[in-house]
Amino acid sequence: MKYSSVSKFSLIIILIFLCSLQGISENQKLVLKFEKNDTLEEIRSKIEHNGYQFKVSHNWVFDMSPEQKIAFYGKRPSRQSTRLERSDDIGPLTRYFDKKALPTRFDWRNHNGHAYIGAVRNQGYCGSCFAFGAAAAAEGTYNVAMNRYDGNCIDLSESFIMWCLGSLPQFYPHFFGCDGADYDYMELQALVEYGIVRESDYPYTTSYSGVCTHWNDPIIKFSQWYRIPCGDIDAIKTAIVTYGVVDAAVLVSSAFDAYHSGIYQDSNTSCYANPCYYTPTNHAISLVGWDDADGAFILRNSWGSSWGESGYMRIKYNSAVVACEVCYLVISDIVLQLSVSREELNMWVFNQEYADVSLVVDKNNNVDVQKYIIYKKEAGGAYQPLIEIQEFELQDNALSFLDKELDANKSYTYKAVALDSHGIIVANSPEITI
Amino acid sequence: MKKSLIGLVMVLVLFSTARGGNTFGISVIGNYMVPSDEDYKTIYGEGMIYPELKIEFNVFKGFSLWLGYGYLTADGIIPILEDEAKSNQHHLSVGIGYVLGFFNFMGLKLQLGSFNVYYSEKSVDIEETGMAFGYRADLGLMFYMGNNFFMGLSGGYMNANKTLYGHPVKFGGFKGGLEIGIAF
Repeated sequence: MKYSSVSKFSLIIILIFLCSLQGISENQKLVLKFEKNDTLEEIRSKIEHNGYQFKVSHNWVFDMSPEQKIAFYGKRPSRQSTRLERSDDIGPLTRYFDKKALPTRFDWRNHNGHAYIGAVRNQGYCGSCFAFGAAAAAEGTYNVAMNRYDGNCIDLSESFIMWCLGSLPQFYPHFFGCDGADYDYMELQALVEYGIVRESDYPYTTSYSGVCTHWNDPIIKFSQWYRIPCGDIDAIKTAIVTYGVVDAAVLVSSAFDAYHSGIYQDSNTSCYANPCYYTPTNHAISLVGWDDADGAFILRNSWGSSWGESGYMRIKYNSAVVACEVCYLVISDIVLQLSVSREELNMWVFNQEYADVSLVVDKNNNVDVQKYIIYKKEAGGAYQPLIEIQEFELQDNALSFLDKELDANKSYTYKAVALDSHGIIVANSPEITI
Repeated sequence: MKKSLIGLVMVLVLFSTARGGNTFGISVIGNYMVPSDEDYKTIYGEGMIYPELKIEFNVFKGFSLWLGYGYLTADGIIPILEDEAKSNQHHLSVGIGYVLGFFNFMGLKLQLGSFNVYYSEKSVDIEETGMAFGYRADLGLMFYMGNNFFMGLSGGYMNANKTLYGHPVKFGGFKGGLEIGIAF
């Protein structure tokens, strides 16, 4: 059978039209939003439809009744708006913008072979996520600043935040017990004003006797907290790598509850509120790292280790509005940046190995520091002071010198500490091994 | 080393005495040397003065055997480490020479020989000692004053190489000096 030229041309035009229609429908495929009461099957169907890369399963949170979940999610809008001036203050983080080369992957659970955050906790049937988010940030910040890792990680008391700090009249409207917390992050403000005790002094409890008896327990105070600009992924990364674990909040969906593994993703990506950090969320979490290969933060939850990936979730940088309300704590307005490089001088008949040691002190002027000590130890040995320098002897807040006492066959570890006028350590650099 | 030096001098003196005439000469040279090794120059400076003693024995119609001993010492600073450094070098040379005389009071002297360095280099944390072997070539213009005295200008090049910690080290360098001696 032969077609005329006109018929052939018409057929081609029709085919092209049909193909373009197909292309439009592919490109404009609607993203299906996760709803509150989605079943697992519905969630899985939406995951497949949206092309997401995570798996869901039953777990104790997903299986809660709707009434239980209402009480369980611990983040809520402010009952009274108490905007603090520092809420818009980025803080000392600005000093590190463009100065720190951000790695493509970072994880405080495994930094140079050490964990700077303890085991995942479980808040139980209590809207205390805000206390776990704040405590995780406090623990991470403290551990990084004081160079405590693995078995020496500090464990701070969520109960102290919930029941003691939450019972104070200025904080009660913002957070208390299992009643959750609002978007003002006054729990962080409380850590600055009053501090926090250790978990061993006040273990986690979901009930309150009505009186806080822990005010005289040893307190760890933080010097300040700051918000990170909404949606600024690099700023969040910079805060994590500089100060440690950061406090954040997410808008939890049924898919979030049922998360089992993979890279969580949803369509809640916009920090649309004004101010942007009042974008609605309902659950506080913390962020311990990121992985650019996944395009995701590493989220630490407080739903026990049976949830998600051993209690953690990889979450796309903007999903669940995770990048809208991120805050970081500063335990001291001083950061010691120690760098040590092993060098070899080979000149004339002289051959000598040495370490080029430099310390840069980044601090506010009001920080009480009297002196700095740089310690050194051989592998398997104990730290010995290498050099001690008074605050006034620093030039441009920096110090550099050569350590010529090196054995070619040995490795050495260095660290720096800053001491205040009472001889108390106020800052601690990370250890560097050469 | 000192015993060998003294022994060789005694043999030459005895031999000289046996032959009689101006066959034996002793001279002192004030040298200014520019080291070949750039690292050495960085530590100790671009040039240094050091003394040298030379003994010559004429064997046949202007040909001679000679023996030289120089002592070089210098103080410097090792860059980067900022450590003080001290260099001590004993230069022992032995060789043959030839003097071409003209105008009855002048002579052009050419000397070739071995160049042996015994060094001791010290800094605050390091001490390196050892030896290196090489060669040297000297050329001098001598002026004879009477039968027993002479003086002149001499220059030359000394070189001894060694590899230390994987990199080459050069001893010696170009030198020039004023020589004063006696002949008997």
